Amino acid sequence: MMTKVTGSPFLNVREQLFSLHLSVRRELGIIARVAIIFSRRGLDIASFSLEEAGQKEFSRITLRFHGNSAQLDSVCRDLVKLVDVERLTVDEWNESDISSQFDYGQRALT
Amino acid sequence: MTLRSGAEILIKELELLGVTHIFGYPGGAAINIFDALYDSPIELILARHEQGATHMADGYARASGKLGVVLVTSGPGALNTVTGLLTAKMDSVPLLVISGQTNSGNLGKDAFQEADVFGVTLPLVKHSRLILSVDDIAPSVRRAYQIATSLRPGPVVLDLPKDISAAKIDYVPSSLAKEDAAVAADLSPQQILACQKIASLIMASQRPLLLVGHGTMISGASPEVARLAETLQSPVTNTLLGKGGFPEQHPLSLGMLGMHGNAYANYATTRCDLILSIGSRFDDRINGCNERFCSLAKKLHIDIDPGEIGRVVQPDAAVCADAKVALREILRHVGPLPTVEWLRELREYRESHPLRCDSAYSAAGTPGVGLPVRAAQVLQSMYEAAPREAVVTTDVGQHQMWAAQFMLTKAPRTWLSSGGAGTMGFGLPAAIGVQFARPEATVIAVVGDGGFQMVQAELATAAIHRLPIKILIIDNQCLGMVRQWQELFYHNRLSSVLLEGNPDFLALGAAYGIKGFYIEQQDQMQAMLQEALAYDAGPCLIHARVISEDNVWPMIPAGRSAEDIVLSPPAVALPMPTGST
Repeated sequence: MMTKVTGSPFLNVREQLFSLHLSVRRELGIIARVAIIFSRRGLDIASFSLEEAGQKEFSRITLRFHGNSAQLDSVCRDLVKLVDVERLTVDEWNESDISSQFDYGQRALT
Repeated sequence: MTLRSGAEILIKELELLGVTHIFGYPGGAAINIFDALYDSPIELILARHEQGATHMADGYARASGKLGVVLVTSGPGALNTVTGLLTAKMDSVPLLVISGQTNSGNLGKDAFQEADVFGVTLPLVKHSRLILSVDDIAPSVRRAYQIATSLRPGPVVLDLPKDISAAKIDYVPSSLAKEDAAVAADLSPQQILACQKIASLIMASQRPLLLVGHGTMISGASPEVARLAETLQSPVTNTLLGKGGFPEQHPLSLGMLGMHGNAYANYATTRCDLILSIGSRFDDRINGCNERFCSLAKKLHIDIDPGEIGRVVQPDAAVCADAKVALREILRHVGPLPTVEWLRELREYRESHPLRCDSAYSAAGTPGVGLPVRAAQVLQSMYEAAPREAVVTTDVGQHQMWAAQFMLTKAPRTWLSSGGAGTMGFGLPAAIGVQFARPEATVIAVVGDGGFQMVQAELATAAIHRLPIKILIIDNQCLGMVRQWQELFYHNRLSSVLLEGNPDFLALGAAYGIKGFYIEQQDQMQAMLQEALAYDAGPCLIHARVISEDNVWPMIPAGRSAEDIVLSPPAVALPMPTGST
């Protein structure tokens, strides 16, 4: 069963620092798979970390990149297609605080 | 204790999954797998280049709906499948490429014929796996099958080091769980609501347009599309890959839209008040200019891939579901629409802007006798001579567009063309794959002299197996589509598009023992084509020499919208296209 990917609420084109959190299956090459989604679009990743998160089978990737909302939408669509990505959430980083957070998609394990 | 090697386990698992044909090319790293194949009922079709093998498996998969399987060796063998992987990924084709690999202990040491296949193919696959233990083989193969064939199909790569293929474990094959490629037959409550919203928007429309894409074929939704079109009395247009999803000969069909689609299908997009995409991803060849595409219309989208909904076009309503299942729900809530005026408007536009296949030099002298042929005429004649259910594969270029325009498609899975990737060399090997999938079908490969030469070695494969495919070479002695762009946008500065030194194609075919037919003049067409179609002792080559200075019309230059369609050779130079390619 699928979950519909909700549309991006970010409608402007100014550049922002986006923070992405992925829950991923701990499979060989998962970092490479995630990273090339950015490099193929000419997007630079500002920071990237992978750590175990409680369950041994899943790990958590946190990455930040500078881009506009259209680029965010594009990478998120590719990220949720990855078989090893179980869940993706996105924060919009503001001077004040994390101003909004939305769930870009949750894949039901097939 | 039944000790089985990794290679034997791999082959056994493929047998259990119902694989009957593998297309491939051997080598040292894969030799254990080829040894296991020796005792297997699976037939390995030996190609002459791994790219050919990949396109054969692709054609096999597109024609049958089953998984296409490729087996190659490490290093250059595996990397020769890369273009075929892109082709399959872009067109959502279920493909499994298994490559041998150097011993697992050698990985990263630049061993003989070692290549980072996993790394190279990362962006080209739906999923991939480097197998590092024998226990992993059976679950990996099953998972690969499931991933490749379910939801939106796509290619999967399994990389198998030689020592893993040789290692033995105690293996008893377990029966398959019946979850392969299972599509949810029931819609969720949210999906049902989405279908109802789509239906209510449809019922408010007076100028609807159904857009049939490849997803219609993949989900087997042609009967539902036909029912919907006839219930609503709505016109239907199709993408390049959607050909056959709705019969193009049907009175409600407008044929193909897009960059080289006909004028009336594109006109319909500028005038419709609602467009429903059934398994089409609104590719740039269809839209032209996103902001102005279907500017008067509500946009509805049925697609199984949530990543495609809203990616290019913001839909007014959409459902992420299998097209067949979704349409069945939508059909429960719709009825006839008042489309009489709309259909009349389209019919009148079609009569005043028909897609014509003019005879060359038709203005001068007696038509037909002793005059050169245009590509479109040959293709029109082939369409008329061939059985309606013939399966057509094409290569890439002008001939592909003319074939799409003039060879109307009636049934699903009878039109195979490299759409998203536009891979030259696809046509001939794909036809070979089709004939293996459907031995009883008439299979016609429409190829250009350029693309054909990229894969001409596969003539051997066709000849050995006596596949009765008809290879129609549209020979204009140039790379026609690029030549057209250079003529229209680059002041006719023809750079590297003239194909000098083409072989005598019939002599080349004869060298493989393949029968040949030659067409150079209009009055030869019918007889030659009929004779070729009747010939079934093996493959045949039909060498059609056509005029070079010929352009595909209509054309919507890249980046422009359907309103800017160019119907005939322009009097003034066209501005450089803003879109790409």
